[in-house]
Amino acid sequence: MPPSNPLPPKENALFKRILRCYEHKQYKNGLKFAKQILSNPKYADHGETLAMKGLTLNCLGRKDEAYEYVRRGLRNDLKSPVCWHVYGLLQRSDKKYDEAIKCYRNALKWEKENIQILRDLSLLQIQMRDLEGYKDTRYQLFMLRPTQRASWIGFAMSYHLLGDYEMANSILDAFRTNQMKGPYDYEHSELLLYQNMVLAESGQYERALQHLNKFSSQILDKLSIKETSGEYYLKLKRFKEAEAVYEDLLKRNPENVMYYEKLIEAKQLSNADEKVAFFDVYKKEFPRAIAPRRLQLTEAHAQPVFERLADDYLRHGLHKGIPPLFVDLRSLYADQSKADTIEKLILQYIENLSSVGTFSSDAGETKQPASALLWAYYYAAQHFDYKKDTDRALLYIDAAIEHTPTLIELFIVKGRIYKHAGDPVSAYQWLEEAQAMDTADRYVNSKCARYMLRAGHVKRAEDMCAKFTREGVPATENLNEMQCMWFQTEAAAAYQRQQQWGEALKKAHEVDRHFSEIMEDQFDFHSYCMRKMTLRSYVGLLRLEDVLRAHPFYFRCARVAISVYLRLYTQPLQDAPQTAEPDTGTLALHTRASTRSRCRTRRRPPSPTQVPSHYTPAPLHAAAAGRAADRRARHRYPRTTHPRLYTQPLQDAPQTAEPDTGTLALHTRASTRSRCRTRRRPPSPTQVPSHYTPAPLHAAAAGRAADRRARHRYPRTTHPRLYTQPLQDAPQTAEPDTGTLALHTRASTRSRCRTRRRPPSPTQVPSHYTPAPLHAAAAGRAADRRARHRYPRTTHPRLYTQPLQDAPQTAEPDTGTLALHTRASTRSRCRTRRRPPSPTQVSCVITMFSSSPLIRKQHVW
Amino acid sequence: MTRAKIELGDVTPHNIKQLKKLNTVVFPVSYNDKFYKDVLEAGELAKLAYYNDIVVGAVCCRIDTSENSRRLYIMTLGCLYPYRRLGIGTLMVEHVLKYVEQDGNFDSIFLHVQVNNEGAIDFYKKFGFEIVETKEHYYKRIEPADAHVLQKTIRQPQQPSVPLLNGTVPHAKTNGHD
Repeated sequence: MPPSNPLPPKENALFKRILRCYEHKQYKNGLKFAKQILSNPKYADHGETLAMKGLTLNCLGRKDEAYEYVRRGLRNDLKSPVCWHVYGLLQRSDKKYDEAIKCYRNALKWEKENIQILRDLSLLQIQMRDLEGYKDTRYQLFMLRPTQRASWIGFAMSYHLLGDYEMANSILDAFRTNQMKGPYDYEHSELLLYQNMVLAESGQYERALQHLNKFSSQILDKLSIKETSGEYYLKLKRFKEAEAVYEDLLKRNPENVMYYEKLIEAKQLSNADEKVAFFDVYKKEFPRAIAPRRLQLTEAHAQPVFERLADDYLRHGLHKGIPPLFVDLRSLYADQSKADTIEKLILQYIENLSSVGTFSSDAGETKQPASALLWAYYYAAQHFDYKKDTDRALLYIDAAIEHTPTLIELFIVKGRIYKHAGDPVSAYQWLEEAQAMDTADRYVNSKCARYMLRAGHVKRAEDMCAKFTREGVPATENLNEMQCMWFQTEAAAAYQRQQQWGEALKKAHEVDRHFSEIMEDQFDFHSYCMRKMTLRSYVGLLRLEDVLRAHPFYFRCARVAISVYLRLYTQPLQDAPQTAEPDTGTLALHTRASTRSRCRTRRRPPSPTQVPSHYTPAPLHAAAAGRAADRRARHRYPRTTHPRLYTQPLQDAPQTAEPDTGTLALHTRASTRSRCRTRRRPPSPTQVPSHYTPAPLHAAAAGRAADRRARHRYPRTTHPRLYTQPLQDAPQTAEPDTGTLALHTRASTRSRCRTRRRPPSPTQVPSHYTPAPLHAAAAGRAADRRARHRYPRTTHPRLYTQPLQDAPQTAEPDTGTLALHTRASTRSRCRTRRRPPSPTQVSCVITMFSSSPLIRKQHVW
Repeated sequence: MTRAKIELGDVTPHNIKQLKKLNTVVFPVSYNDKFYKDVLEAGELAKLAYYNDIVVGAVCCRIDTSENSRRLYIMTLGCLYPYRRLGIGTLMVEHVLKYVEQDGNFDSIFLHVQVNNEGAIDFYKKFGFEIVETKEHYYKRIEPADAHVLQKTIRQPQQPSVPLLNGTVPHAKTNGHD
């Protein structure tokens, strides 16, 4: 469709040059040409030129002007697909994907078959997981460009992601037969394996197996062939064949634990003796392999057998001096009798090694190297530390240090023992010692920094890390840039323990931003993987991104942020108590008590203005307030006492029980609990100590109460963000008393929705992909925990990701979920506009294209 | 069973703390910061000994040019107690001997040993060292305070050399221990 006000040839040529300049990133030139057109008063308001000028300005970083020009251009030419496309590109560059999608749709309204716009739209749709929309767009692209392989692949993948394996497979089939025969390259091989993956996911293992066998000569990834065929044989219960495959695989790599497990499955071994005998065979066959020896320990249950095997294993490890021997064996400790056996053996080694230099008292045994005793001590220390026997653990680690004071690992373990015993300060001091002994060791360096954070020394931890970060840049900056999340999570927790709320939130939000960035980075792969044909990995990536925020790093940080926000909510910083009786218990308790009393006199919760807004978290504000609080806190309690007191309760109660250890924090919790008991109701949020990561239940309770109040005050605005995540967890099975924040909120929404008799309109609900994610996570976490119970593993934190696996086909409009809602509406819009192709239609199309000789000619690859 | 692995490694600013730890445990005298600063510059004259990848011994030497001769002085050579009689000391002495041989311009190698340290005296005698002198009150804070000077002659002095006299070499100071 021609633009509504076409330019004369000369200006049109200039406009074309603007486009070319944009594509070649010659932005300055582009602006020059735009100026030439716009300086002509006749075309000063030419929409498309204005829009292009804006887009070019955007690339030069002049964002405000860019928006101004693009919007002006659009206003002047609302029917121009170029203007809409440009607006879409601008929004996309700002990560406003939903807005961008709208723009592209408008652009397509005026120019239905613009390949570039369709392609851009499809990328946004897959990024937003609008799978239905993606399918439609890919269908259109396929119809418009049936000769391009990307059209076929994208088309097939859209069906695959929607779970229509049959259709995906037949498209791939048609595409494959379309191709010229040989030479078969890597991309062809990947395509075959992708098709095979589609077949397997449809559950048709027989067919997948046949497919694999048929094309095995064309598939270059031989290992994948073997591994997947073994998998299929097992699924099809063709055990003999599976056995042969896995035996073959073991010859390739005798250390792959999975192969042994599958082989046991294929051999249908069930009792322990059989399994032990099974591993004996492979120990002989692969004498240097560790896997069969270690796995045998897991399977051996009879005490004498286990003792014999463990004896062998331990002797080997101690003789060689394998530092992670304990870590390797730790999983065996789940079985108490195994732990006892190991303890017996280790103590026996220590006795004999220190007296005669051998493992047993047998006279004929060869002497062990001098380091064997050292490693035995080292093992024993970790063993007793694991058993929470701090005294004996320290005894052995001191013996080891006495024996060889130059071994760095010993000091790390000593620090760890102190950490487990509840003394983070001594712990980090020992780590510092270890670190000083080899300052080139990054592992020890990181460990040391981490222990410092646990002890509350954030600054020192930063300095420690600075030894390995880029020079000339502050350590924290570099760590953030490197997405060093372990540091940021620990730092957030450390700040939280010190009640530096602002700093804690800052760190938590940094981590959150990393996750957003990882989601963003996904964008580039949509086109790249399609081009490179690495489709299996691509699908893997999409699925990973769907559950990305289930990562422990995220959970840990979200927890910190949630409890900080709850704390800031219940105890707004503005009216921190000015009159501190110096001798009142802890700072936290103190503050809480006074807050409560103030609340009581007021007889109403703190007004919204007093509460720092946690909806659109302004970390800076919080930081300022946090700093003030810190200053006060430090004033009253000299710095040194703090960290230790707050960090201790995190670990188990101190085992080295000095009678007066009873830390302040522990105290606090005890007293809270006792107060609760007398009242016979759960502690109110103001009572809950928020200075350390609260027990989830407390948080939930606090959340519920807070939520109740919040709803009173913020009838609508607070809610929506809570919906964004917990959705996949339908509240059907909600026991009334689990009532977490999430459930609660949803329930109330639903009821409100019902009275309204329509779902919340999109404007009421903030877009679900720019949520305040940490908040949502609060609700999400509780929901997740339950969800995981019900759907072990398979469930995903975000609803809109689910459709990949088991998409609800019919969205009830009153589910009141944002994501569903959005999708439903998208779909309905699709329906009115153009129907998705029916399977028969599609296959007709496929056959039509694949039989066309013309196309075959064009396929030269 | 495989034999234990014994090898030598460099002293660097990163691991110098290990050398300090080792020396604190092995020797009854403590060494000052200057000692460790010089060690970092010493190159092949300062080495750590590793036994199965654990630091268990160290040797530190310097070149002494007093008394009109060029001599190698072994400041410290020691090994942690549990790892003695395993060939670690020998490896270190051999390293020193090899260094002296390759240099080709040393008159002798010498060192001080506390008079009651018979194990060490026997050890050095194996390599051709001899007691050439005994210095009284050589050590300040330990008993016995007397030290033997052990020396291994590499080449005969070309010009008639002044015999070593008691107290002419202020080792207690140059040695770095206090």
